[in-house]
Amino acid sequence: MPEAAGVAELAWTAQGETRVETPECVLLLDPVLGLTDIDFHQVTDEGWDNLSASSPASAARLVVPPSTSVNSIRQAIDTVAKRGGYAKVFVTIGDV
Amino acid sequence: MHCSTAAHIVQFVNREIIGAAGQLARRIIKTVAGQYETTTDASNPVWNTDSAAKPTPYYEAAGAHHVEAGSLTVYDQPTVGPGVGETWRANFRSYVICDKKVVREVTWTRSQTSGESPKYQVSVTYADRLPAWANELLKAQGYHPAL
Repeated sequence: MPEAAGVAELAWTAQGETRVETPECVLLLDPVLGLTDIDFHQVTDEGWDNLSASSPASAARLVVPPSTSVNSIRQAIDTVAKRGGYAKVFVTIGDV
Repeated sequence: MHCSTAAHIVQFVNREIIGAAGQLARRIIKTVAGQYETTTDASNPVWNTDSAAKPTPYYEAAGAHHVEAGSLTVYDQPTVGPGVGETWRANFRSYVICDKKVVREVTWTRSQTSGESPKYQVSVTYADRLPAWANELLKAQGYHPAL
């Protein structure tokens, strides 16, 4: 998949595959709440203050349910990359 | 359970990441409310207040919930995403407050081992107060008292 607007390197993975590195932040794309943190709190504008990348090379992981549309995933990746400042966003599609 | 005054949930979380060799891994968990470390000694869990509405300690203050005629329903689905060979556990203690009193303790875990589906384990017991560690944790983490 091409990079999202040139802001992030995308690396696709799936459960059972080896990940390239340990992500600094884990997020869920919930069909009702939208982006949530690992503890199922909705990510608000203020919430990004605590979720932002600690370095320009940091990676985040985005977990999405199988029924999620490509467009929704693309938008979420873009948000994580831009608002969170993550250089890499690993996407896992599977049981959430 | 019907409550005459607003019901609340005060919830605490600790997380375990068990590596392929069975060791507990140390990781930083980032949330909208701040960050906390995973538990690396099972006998000494690293609890964190599970509220995104600091200094309000109640889960439902910012968590998904529904209120209707004296009842409160909360929704929670913590992400567990193990890497190869790992098991992730999100462990919770939830205290149900009804009519300004603690009435139940809910102990629950959502866990997942790589290659398997996530699982829930839940037990509910009677309780009439928050344990001392919970009150101390709320204070230490800058939350208002639960009661």
